[in-house]
Amino acid sequence: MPRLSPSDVVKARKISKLLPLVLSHTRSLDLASRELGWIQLELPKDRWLEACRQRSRGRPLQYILGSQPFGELDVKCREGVLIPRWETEEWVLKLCNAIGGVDKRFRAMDICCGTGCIALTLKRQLGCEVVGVDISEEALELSRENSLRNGVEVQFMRCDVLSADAGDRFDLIVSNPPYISMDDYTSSEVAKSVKLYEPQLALVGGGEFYHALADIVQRTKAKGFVFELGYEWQYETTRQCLPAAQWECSLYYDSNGKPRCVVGWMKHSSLAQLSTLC
Amino acid sequence: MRQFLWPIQRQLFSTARSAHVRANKLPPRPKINEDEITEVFLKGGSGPGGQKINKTNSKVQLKHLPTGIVVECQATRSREQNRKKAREILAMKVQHLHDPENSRTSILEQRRMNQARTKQKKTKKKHSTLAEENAQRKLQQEQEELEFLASLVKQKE
Repeated sequence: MPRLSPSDVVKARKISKLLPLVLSHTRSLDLASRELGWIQLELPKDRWLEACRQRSRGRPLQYILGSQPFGELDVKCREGVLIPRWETEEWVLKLCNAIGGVDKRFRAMDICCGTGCIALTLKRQLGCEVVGVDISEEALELSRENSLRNGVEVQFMRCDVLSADAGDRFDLIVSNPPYISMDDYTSSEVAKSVKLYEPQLALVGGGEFYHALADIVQRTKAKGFVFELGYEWQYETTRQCLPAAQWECSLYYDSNGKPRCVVGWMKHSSLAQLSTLC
Repeated sequence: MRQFLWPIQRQLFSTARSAHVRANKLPPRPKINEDEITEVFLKGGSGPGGQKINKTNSKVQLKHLPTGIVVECQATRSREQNRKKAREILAMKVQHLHDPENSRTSILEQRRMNQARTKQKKTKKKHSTLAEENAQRKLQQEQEELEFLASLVKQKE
């Protein structure tokens, strides 16, 4: 964390009493004033001080304000469920554009749905049938609340990915599984505020999730999939789990130039257009 | 039946038509051609991304290729909103560059100046009438005092 310059603190104090509190976490005056602006815009006046105090302790702004915009949706957020990231928003919107129109029988499944943001966006943009699953009851409850809040109807069910025996057919499987390695989680790679406030269950995972997801892809006879990832080896793992004769896999990079997703499609199928994503 | 007739009747006898015209007086918002721009999302730095970090801001930068104008927007938490706003700002700037006199920007500026001027005039007028009234009141008071004094002098005599 860069050292906070005293002159910045003085400047912040001159603008507002609350600003130094926000500044102590954001470390940049510019971002701090914008965050304070959002707090003052979205919360009633009597909660500003408490909100800024919490922000100075590193509580994520999305938990303080209770929401995060995701594409066209306004997604409700609260402790115990992972906050949607901009990287996820980016690939989900690109995915919707790449698929374009689908027929009414098209079925998509979102595994580890969390707030339900991916499932709800797919439903809103594509209009197909979408099912969201998660292991956490808290996440499922929030997903259902988000479905009501945004007026998008998606079915959410409890399911453990690692011991799933789903027999249904799906065309597209998407997932944002926990993908941070334990080594990174315990190091300074992962932001302190993430470790302190967001659920470890939604963050820490290794190759087992990609094995399980590839297995689900084959059992549901899906024609394409997109899984978010944090390391390039997770792409290799997924690729090796699928028969190379039928499946084509590719690595998707986010606009920050980081490997972010493994995208796969069945050769010569209707979802071969997923190749335009990468 | 009455319900259906009512709005027609109202329109026929309305005297507030001028108000409708006024609202549409401003020129329409200019649009930008998507082929002429490049869009960049600035995330700042090469640090870790994804689940490892939770950013609250999202900055959108647009570049208009024919003119080279660059605009940025990070006003809201929503990237989609920022994208829309950035396009609006860029479209206004491009229009202003091509036709400075009739652009929406200059017309808005003109209107703002006019409004400020009218407001200033109003305050000036208000102050001058107030000052006039005060002066008159003072004069009257003085006259009354003089008259009173004169009557006192008369009584003594």
